[in-house]
Amino acid sequence: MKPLVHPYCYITVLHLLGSFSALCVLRGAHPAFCVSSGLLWGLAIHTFLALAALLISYVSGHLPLYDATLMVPLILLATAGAAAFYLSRAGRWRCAWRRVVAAQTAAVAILALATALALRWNLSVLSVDSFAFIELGLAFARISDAQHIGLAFVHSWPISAVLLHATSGVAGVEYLYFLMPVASFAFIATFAVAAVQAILLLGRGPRVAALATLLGMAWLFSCYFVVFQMFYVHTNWTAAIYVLLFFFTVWMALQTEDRSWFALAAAAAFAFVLVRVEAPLFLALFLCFLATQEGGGRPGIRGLLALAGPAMLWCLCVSAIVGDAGRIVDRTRLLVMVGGLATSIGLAWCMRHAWFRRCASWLQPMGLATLAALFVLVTIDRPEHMLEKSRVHLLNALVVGNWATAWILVAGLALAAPLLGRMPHQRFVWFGVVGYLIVTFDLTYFGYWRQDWGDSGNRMLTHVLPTIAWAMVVKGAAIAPRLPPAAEPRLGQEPPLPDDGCGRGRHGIGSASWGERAAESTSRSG
Amino acid sequence: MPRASSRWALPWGIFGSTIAAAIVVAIAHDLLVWQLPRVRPHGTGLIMLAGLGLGVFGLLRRPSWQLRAVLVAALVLAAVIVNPFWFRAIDRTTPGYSLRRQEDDLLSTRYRKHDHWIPRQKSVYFVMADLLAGKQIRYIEGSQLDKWRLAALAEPSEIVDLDPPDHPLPSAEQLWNRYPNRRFQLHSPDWAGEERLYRMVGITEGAERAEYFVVLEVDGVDFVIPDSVWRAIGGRPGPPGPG
Repeated sequence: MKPLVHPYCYITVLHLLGSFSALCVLRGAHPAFCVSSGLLWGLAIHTFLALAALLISYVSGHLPLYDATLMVPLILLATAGAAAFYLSRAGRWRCAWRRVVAAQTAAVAILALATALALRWNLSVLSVDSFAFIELGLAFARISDAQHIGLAFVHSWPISAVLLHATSGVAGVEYLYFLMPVASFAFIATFAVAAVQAILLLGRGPRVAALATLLGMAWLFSCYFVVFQMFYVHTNWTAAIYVLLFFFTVWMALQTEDRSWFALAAAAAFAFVLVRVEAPLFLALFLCFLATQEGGGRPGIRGLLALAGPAMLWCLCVSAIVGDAGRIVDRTRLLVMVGGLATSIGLAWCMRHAWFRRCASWLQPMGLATLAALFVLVTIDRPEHMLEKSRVHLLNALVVGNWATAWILVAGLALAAPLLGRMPHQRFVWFGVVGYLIVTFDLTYFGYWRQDWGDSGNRMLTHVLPTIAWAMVVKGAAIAPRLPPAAEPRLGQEPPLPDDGCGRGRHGIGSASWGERAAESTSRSG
Repeated sequence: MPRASSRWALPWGIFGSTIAAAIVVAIAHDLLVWQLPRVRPHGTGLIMLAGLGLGVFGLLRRPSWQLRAVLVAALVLAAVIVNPFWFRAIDRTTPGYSLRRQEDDLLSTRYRKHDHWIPRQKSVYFVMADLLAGKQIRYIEGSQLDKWRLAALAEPSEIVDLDPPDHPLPSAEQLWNRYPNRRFQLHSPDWAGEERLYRMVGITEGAERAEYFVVLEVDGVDFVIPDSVWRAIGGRPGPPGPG
């Protein structure tokens, strides 16, 4: 198969697109995070552009208009635009752009090495589902077949995987076996940067940050099922990546009170929605907990609209396409998801009122209790089914799901929670994650959970594991005492800028204003 | 930070919480895994046990941050040490879906070469692919052969949707007996071990000269039938034929 774009170029362009876009969104700040997570943002943007092209051709009734080769000029154009925008604004944003260029060079070299290894040794693992993604992708790569197929498959198969595999022909391979290992490489770097950055923000020293991060990574990336999924052609690991990016970016927005992080969070949220068919339900859950988060920095109605809006539109699109005939999702279930997302916006509206904010401290526990009560109710309705399937779900997590010590240690650390430190804004993270786990038990009512590693419920546990690991690392590092303000490290970024005139001043890490805000924020949140 | 009121408080706290944790974890562990074959590494229950013990200890007392950090790090390190043992156990028990190197060392080609990497469902389409490649398919709704899989793998020239015929077709058994020159049949259990109705018959009689194939389901069996046979059994709609 002759490549239109060589895999090295394919990865490099996506990385540059993602990293420059992230830099533009954050106005040149946090270059380490933007560069390390570049490929992950690039993949998300690729999916958004491909989806836009596909929907335009679908709505206009000319499905053949969508063509995977069209993505090459589109992505190149977008990359050039993002890079040019960043470089033209770098002076105004007082970015250390030379350092960014050096970091980009190093990142591209590392990614090229990862790509070379992934191309040399095809370690990919495929299952029936993998073939569905690959075959649908291959069919989309051929215009004539796209006509036969239509979009009816979206009730069971996520569009993101299909659109990505459609470009396999462009990259000159039969299927994108090298993509997940290379993206996982980028994710490992992103995880490290996210953990270190969060720990430094909490005023702990770099040595503590490095030790805690290394320990957390050694555990997470030595769990069998985590390593396995880096080579498994499926969607769960990708979903886990975007869930962590969502939680991290939202946490950064809350912690730094810099709303530009919410733009990245919105991208991560929508990428998550496109990666999994059932994802809008979980996004609604996360956003409801976010909307009722106490303390400053919480997104308002516009912020929630940005976070939930694209997912709502996509759910309505899928609903119009599949109607009542869906397998995993149909019109009713999709409307329930839209309702959940709309609820989060409604909660954001309610939080504008003082009387509602006074109830905020018990709203999140109430939400969690509701999910648990739902489990009890459905268990009363189908006791044998629910107890058996819940037992299977638990068995998968602890013993037969190939997780190694992943969930065992999570349980152990949860039990040892009194020994861990405190993390600001942790309620949003923990309620989101625990709520997610409870909902996976609730879904056993409809689900077909079975005792096997490949069970959907077992794989869905992947989605929140990196987020839990990241939060555990931060809480573990928070055991150490805070450094005195004068000794707090900076993250190697530019000095603080004055307010930009829009009431959205940016605060350099380690600066006086940042320290005050962080202290305020820490004292306000649990 | 509160200090120990007695030098025995800490050891007793640890001892008591460990005993309590041991009982809880032993019961939970037994309830969950006692029936399973012991192929997984030992020591995992101990990690939960230790977590619970530490948690109770942390609730009862508030040790120095150095001690807390060491205890938590020790717990995580224990998990890191246990993890590699799982790799061997899992590779041994799930060889079809593991990261173990294949015996022939042809990792880059195992996608094609090894049957266990190719699900049965796909192998059916592969077998059929030769039959349908470049031909037109007339597809009658109801077949379990997915249209998109046919398009992706068999690469027909065109797929045309047909309404079901307005008269009863011969039963699957009659068709089976009438056309003994059948290409393949697959009776596939699904991955959960339950029997799945995935029987397919491809009739090859006249396949070489066929202009098109009809894909339909009769009595739960999927048939791929060349045009001459389709006309012979009186399938309608379709071009008029001798039958």
